[in-house]
Amino acid sequence: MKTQLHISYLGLVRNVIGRSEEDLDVLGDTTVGQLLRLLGDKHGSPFKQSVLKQSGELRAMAQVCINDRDIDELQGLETRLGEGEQVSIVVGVYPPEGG
Amino acid sequence: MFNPREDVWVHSICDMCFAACGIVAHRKDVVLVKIEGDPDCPASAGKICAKGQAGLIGLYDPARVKVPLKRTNPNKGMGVDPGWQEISWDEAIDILTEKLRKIRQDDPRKLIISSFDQIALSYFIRPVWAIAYGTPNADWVGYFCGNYLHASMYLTNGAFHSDFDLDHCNYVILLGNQQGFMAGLNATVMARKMAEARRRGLRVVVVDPVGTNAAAKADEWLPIRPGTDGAFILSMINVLLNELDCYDRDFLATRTNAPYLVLGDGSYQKEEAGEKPLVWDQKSNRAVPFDQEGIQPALEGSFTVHGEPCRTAFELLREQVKNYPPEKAAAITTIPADTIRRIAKEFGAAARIGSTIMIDDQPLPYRPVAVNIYRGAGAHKHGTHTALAVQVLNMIVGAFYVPGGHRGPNLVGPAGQWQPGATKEGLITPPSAIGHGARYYDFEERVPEDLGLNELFPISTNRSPMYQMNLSQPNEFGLPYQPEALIVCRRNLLMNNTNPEAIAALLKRIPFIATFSTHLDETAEFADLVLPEAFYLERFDLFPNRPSHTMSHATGYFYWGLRQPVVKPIGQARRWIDVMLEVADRLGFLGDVYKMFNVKWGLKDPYKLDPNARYTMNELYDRWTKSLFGAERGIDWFKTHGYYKVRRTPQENYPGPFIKARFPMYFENMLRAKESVSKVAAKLGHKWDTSDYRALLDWKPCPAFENGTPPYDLFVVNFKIPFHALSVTTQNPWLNELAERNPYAYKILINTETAARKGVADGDEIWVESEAGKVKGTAKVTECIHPEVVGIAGVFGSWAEGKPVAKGKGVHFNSLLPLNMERIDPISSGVDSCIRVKVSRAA
Repeated sequence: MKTQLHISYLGLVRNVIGRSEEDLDVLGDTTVGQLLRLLGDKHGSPFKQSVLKQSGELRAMAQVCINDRDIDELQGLETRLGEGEQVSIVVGVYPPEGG
Repeated sequence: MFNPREDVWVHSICDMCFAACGIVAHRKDVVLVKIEGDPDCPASAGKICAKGQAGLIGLYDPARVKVPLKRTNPNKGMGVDPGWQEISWDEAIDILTEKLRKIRQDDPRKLIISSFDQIALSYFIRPVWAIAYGTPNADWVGYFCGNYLHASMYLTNGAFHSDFDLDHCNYVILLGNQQGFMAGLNATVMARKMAEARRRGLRVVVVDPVGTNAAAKADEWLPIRPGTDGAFILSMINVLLNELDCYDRDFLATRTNAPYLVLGDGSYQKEEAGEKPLVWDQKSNRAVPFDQEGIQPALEGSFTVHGEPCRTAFELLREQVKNYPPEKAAAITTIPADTIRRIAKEFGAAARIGSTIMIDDQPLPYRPVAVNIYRGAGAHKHGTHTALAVQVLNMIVGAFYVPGGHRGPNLVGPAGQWQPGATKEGLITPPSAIGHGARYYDFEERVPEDLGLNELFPISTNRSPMYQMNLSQPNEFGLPYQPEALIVCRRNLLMNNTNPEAIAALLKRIPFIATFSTHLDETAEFADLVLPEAFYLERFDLFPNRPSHTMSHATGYFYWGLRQPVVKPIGQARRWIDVMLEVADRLGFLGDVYKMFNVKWGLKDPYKLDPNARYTMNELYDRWTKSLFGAERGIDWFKTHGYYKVRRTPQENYPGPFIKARFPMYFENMLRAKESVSKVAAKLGHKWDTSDYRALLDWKPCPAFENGTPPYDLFVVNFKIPFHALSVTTQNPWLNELAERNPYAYKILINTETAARKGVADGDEIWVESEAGKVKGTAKVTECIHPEVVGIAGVFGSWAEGKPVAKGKGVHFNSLLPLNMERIDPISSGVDSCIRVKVSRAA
């Protein structure tokens, strides 16, 4: 069974993959981690280098939100994706400021 | 709104410093006539300081920029007339938009944004607009105030700042800061709490080269040689651990990594098939994972585990601080050895290790002592080690997130909205809400692509000095682009960085500069476009009291408030955030900005923003407040009522006993950072000093300590006076009057004995000269400064024609500071702000 997702690319990842959003069909019960691997295969090295560490974990300055909620507050990369959910992939989330 | 013949008091929030105190503003016949503290605001409780009251005259300053201005003189330089031409807002936004459009199409990283506007930095420009535009270079802020500190706090307490519990503290050491004396977090409420605590018997020890406002009121002032605070603190730890045997054994064993077993190479001894560090369980007499239930971890000892010798982190620390006997520390700091021993003994005794206190019917550990650090002690090369040493001292006596002790602001969010995390080693990490990305336990060995050189400073919150290094030496770090535009708001790059001539040279090389300015200040003189920025009393800002960052527990509440316009903008002033949103719309990425708002602000249905819609600022704020507090508390509720407040629970005030994560006193992650930074530097072809990446704390001399060859025989430092904040308040006429009547504000402080030796009398004009520059000022001969030091207050000495009140008043300290890699803290990138100088009478 397919699940349709709407994906927004925000920040520096947009610079390197040259698009700001797309709709994507994935298998039901796909996790965020699996989605990121799929997107890595689809968009190649620029996406992987922008979003992921070599270990496959998220870079510190990358953030993934499901329906605008940080996956840190959900089940992280194990968060399962449902039909019609909005996925935002943000790169450029530096630590808060300090002079 | 703003009707003639009305007489109203309006809730708003001050912006004369970062404390963001609540105010009520009296508007009569459309004119602001008085500002007072808002009795309903937990931060001000009806009180307001001199800066807050003086906001009124700043609003009506005739020198304010009132219309957009375009430069006609292509030549730029300090004192060069830009040839301003008045233009319309439409033309100004057209110019700005077209510049930004071309850059975005080419490479958006070529845009730099420099601001210290807290609302913009927190909610709008840095975390949203800049990301949506596509530039990582939106973080050129200050070099000094907390650069070395914030990362040290994230690492040790999981929060952004350093704070302590004035409700219960009985003994505090203020190390290069004046918390509680009208400086630091929530200055007004902290000053009130400090006064109450002093009546209760709180003892205050100030350690500072300058007899500051806080030192003058303290029980004891210890003048210290600049840049040696770390040696003082390590010596105190030595006395506590090795002479007095005074430490909180339970806290160290169960709430820190002190019992973790460490191998000869400094790394943790871990499970054979796992990631968890091991401790030595005294019950079973074997090594077990640190988090195993029912164990009794050994703090001391040497063990053999998996055939390898290892020792506890605590024992390594104990041995390390033996390098700092008080006699040695006395020679470094000039604080006598018996004083160091006495202070350590008083601190240890006042900690009441083992005691508890009832808070709301709950028994909690009671450790009524703290050592608190800020800029003065840490703005030196190796400053990160000083800040970490302070934190370890607080941990040694268990004064960490318990009544009376040290704490970071808001580790636990209101109603559990956020909680700290933990690494696989069990060590604290900041909640995502207050420190996403500030998790300093794994590192990326990739070539940096931002001007801050993130990967070369992975344990830092801010790498602003590297912006300057990259701009002044464009090929040094191999960035694949060169900046082409700079946008500035509420940040005076020439006044507040290092020597302004160096800054001027690099600004001249940036092809396009736009500033949003209230005044034609020193930086605006270099702009191609100056846009009139709204004064805070004309502005609309939600939540300047940031619950995640700068709101002290001392307020007793979590609270949310609104800065709303008190009067109509003067001239054509606009809030730069509004303008930048309009630019985003014209460039076609406002929808992305809205998507980012949904994420950043955590907006819930039905208040989420539609990327295809357009909202006014009032509508944006209405959705945000309703999303947080329900339909009944929209923006109109805040306009009328001022504050929404929630009283803090004991778990929120004193989270230490209620969280599982441990606090690090041994920094094994530094070893991994060292390896990563070395590899990144090698990729860039650089030799890099990684010697500060050490698991155990140390003190090392900063360059000024070692360079004392006559005639450059004195140190110079600057210090804070409580009625000015950065350089933005210097143009205020009322605060200028205060400074003129203050014996220290516009002077150069020199010790009585030193002055006599150099033939300087009180009131003489003197030169102070460093390797980078020279400044002239009036000598104030005083006992209130260390004999080896001259002191210059704040950020005075303006020279811009557009600041007629500030121009020529006081002395510009930063003119004395160079910027080079030898003079930065290699971990945080903070600039060393003391330097050797020679002092001579002016002819």
